[in-house]
Amino acid sequence: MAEHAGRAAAVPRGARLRLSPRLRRTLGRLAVNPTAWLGFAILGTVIGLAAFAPVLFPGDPLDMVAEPFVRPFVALAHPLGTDSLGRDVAAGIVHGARASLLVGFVAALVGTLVGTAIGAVAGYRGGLVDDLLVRLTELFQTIPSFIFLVVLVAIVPPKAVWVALAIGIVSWPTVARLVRAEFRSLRRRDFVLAARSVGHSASHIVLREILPNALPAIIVTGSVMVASAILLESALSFLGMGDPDVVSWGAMIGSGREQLRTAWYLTALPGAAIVVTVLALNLVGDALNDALNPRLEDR
Amino acid sequence: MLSVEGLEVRYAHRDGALRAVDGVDLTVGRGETVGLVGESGCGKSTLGKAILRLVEPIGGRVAIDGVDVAGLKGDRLLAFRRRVQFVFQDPYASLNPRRTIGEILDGALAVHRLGDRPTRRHRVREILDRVGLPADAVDRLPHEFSGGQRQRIGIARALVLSPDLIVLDEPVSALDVSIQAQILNLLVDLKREFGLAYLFVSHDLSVVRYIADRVLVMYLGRIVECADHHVLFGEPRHPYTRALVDAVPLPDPRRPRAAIVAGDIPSAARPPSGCRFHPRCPLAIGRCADEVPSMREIAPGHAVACHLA
Repeated sequence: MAEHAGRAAAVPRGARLRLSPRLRRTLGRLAVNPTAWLGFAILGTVIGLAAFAPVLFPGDPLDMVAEPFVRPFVALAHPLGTDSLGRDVAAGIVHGARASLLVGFVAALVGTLVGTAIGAVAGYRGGLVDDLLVRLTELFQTIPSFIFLVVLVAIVPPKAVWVALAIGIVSWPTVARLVRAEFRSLRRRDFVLAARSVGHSASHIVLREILPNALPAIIVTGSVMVASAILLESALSFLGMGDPDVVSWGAMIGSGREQLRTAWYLTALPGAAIVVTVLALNLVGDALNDALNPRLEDR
Repeated sequence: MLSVEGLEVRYAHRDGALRAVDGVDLTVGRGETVGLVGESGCGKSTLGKAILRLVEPIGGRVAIDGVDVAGLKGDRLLAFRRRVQFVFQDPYASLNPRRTIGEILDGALAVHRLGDRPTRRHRVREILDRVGLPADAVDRLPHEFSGGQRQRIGIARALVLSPDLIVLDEPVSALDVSIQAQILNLLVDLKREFGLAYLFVSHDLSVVRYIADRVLVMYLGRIVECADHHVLFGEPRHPYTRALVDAVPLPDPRRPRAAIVAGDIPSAARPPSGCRFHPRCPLAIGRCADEVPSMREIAPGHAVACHLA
């Protein structure tokens, strides 16, 4: 009886222990990394601002709320000034963070999922399937990605989610190549042969044996992809091809560029927001790379 | 129980096909331990993997109790996999670093639908105990174990399915000598207890001598000699076997020895003509370069592929 109780108690403990040693070590390595702190702090601030945008700046950020060209740090009601139509710049930047982050994360998610699926099948199956998928990937890579993106966005409705999907579609080949390379090297490892000799199915081997070992590389690439998706979205909005109903940093730069000589802050402030966010995402990517790198595992 | 006839495995190679295994015949009886020895690169590991179809052979036949293994699919392949298991050489590479020992062993039972969850958990603990691992190993990851313990995990993974035959690919050569002895003793005990048959692949003759009932000697993709273990070690007939037996370090180094074989094993992409051993053979005659020697039975249970034997 006592033995039975002991065994039952061991189950939840086991479930917790399974993740914790590795996760704890990864988190520990992140905690002592100043780059990680800086990256996560900036990113956390941007996410916080985006989340509380309706509280901080209620109302539509596209509304004209004051006279045009109020310079920053002059009026308390509009700390970062107003643009040529009298719209609040601070409200635009805070609300713009929502569009940029939404597009960035959705695009990275789409690109990572598509790229991982294609790369995993190509790398695991090899042979003809691999050849075909590699040709497909190369086809997508030979088209200049921004031109391709402009074409896609011209076809789909000008909504933020569609823009995000389009960016995901142009950015999956990078992930696919990476995942394919990981799978090609992992599938020859003895533990994969062992899983086959035990009788595991191909789907078990791909999802449960190989994928968890390829995951660190995928996570790192994904975090950097968020940054590049934000840059692509800004470039699209700058050209006026983004969602017109949503403020975005790129659109703010685009509308401010005509006043570059008289009101430089209209381009510089949203530009700084892009730089800081993209920098933060790259710092996070670097920190994750260091923390998840299996070569550092046994130090 | 296991019979292999004319098995051939080739690898793609820049100089054309590399014949890793080139027409091998062998049998393993129920409860028998067959040793397979040869130098590194002679194809012995590939042969072991081809028997389990971890490497697909291009020719020949592998049969278990008369059933051809080639082309098995679905449930019949699964049934074959349950009967024949594999233990890998490198205990560091053969365990998934991200799965716990419990998941590795339970996963094997689950694929074969051997019992519900509590039954499987019980079975996993039973096997861990049998191979000498603590019960709390189920919740731990492979990197928390030493090389010897990892090899016990590899053996547990093979054993948990209650197979009839285990192909052991150099199971102790990556371990310290003191640990080697423990693992070999464990293997001997398990064999006795569960009536297992082993195909024991090794380059180490002293290990094979300890464990095998019958020994096959492989050279460059072919079997060159096959005999019961005391016959093979007592009166080896193939010059290559003689050289191997004499190369084993002995307690008395003054004992006279045959000539040590010079040179390296040739490439299997361009094997020598005739007898593949002739360029390195101290006894080679003209005929050896032209004519491939076939396996001849020179005494009951003792076969040699040499013109001079």
